[in-house]
Amino acid sequence: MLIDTNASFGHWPFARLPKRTLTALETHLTKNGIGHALISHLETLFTPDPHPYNLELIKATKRYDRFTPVPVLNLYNPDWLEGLETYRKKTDLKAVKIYPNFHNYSLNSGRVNALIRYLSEHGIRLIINVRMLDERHQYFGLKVNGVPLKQLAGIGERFPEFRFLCTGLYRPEIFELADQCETFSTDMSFADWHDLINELLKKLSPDRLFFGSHTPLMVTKANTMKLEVAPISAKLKKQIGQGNAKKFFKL
Amino acid sequence: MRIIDIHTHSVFFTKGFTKAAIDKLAKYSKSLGIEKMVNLGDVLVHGPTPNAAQCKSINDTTKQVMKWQPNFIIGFCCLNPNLGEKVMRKELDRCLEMGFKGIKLEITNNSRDAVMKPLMKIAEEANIPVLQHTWDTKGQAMRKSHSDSSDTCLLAHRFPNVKVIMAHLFGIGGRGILEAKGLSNLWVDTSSCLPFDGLVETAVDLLGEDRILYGSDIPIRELGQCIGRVTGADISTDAKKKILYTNAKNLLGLKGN
Repeated sequence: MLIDTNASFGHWPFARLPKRTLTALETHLTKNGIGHALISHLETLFTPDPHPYNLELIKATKRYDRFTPVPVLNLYNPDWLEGLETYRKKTDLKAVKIYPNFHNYSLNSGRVNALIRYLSEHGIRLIINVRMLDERHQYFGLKVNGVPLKQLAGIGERFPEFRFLCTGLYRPEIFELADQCETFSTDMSFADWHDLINELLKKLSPDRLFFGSHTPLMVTKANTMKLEVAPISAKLKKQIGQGNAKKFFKL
Repeated sequence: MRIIDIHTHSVFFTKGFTKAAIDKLAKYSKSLGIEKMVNLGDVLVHGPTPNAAQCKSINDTTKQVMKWQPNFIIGFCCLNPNLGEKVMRKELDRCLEMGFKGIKLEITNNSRDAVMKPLMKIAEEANIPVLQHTWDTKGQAMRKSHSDSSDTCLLAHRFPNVKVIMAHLFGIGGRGILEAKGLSNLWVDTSSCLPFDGLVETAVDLLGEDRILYGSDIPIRELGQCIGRVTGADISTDAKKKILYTNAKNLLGLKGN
């Protein structure tokens, strides 16, 4: 069974997407061969204060062994650290996720540095979402650019020992970033090309590739099949599909 | 499930143009259930507006690929409508003799331009489908040569006796589906872009399951992902079978079961 490092719960209002309860989401993921998922609350993207939604998610996922809640931090807010400490008390916190482009701050900001120092000290992982949609097809009421690669590379320069996971990188971006940063890993939900994984492995070691379905925005099966039918060994599929996540997030 | 891929570029900027590469692609594709693959040609290898000799060269490459995998690859003829009726007719006749089954139009012009009239006339005479690259380009300068869904739908409306395939469901999006409503000579292929949820379901609801064709756009896309966006859609098994196989088989007039 796969471990999904890029799944969300909640409603995305800009497209006709399935609306699922946590139970329905669990059933859906299981049906698609996903045994465990790190999930964040989508509605944290549309409100200045993600805290209530994070708490709601942490509380709700307690009843589900297959979900690891990943709270979203808005570093634009003054109380992000307070929120983070609350989540540590409420759950066995494995990771936090940030959406710098939705929450309007740069990865060069001092608060990002403070966050990374905190996470390093406490053994918590950082997931940076680069984009939620293909920029060419965003609803006109919601236009958000992807996170600049230069800012991602900057994290690698400032914190050369700190490994982080990016979600939503395009294939050319993965190639470009690979030349500038040795500490990022990536999911493959936005990466696309014939024989994709073998192409990516020319630039990245297999421990840096993670499975992410980007459910519910993307068709879950599309991303599971990307791995399932890839012309790579079963051992590699297992490593990318679950081993890397298990190790990185200590699941 | 059985699959016909209506939208591929098995040779892309000359890459993949060896027998070994085509055989490898066919073998891998067949392992996924793909029985036939429509090769639309290396359409951008000479830039967006190929001249007559360049169109011929593109089609010769397609013909060679067909020869290497005769029971797997189906050719579509690349034409540039700006070259006029005489040039297009000559090239299409040549391609039809070589067994091509349709016409592929890329980004030489907008599909609402007057140059389309002779092309659609010869397509109607030959009784072959016209596959038009289409994207959501409304309000953008690129629309001059990149047809928007409203342009391709207008083309289908103007020429009701020609079967038009509007490429790239995931590039035209929800508005493109709405533009295509009610056009009985129009099909939409599922190729390209990323597999955002809800679009296949919307297309089936609004256009009907008989109007959607499976396409990948390889090598720009990954095959498993492209198949999964259909097999993972919340539609009936019958609809999936039609999209993946039966609709294309009927449209292309392929024999057999």
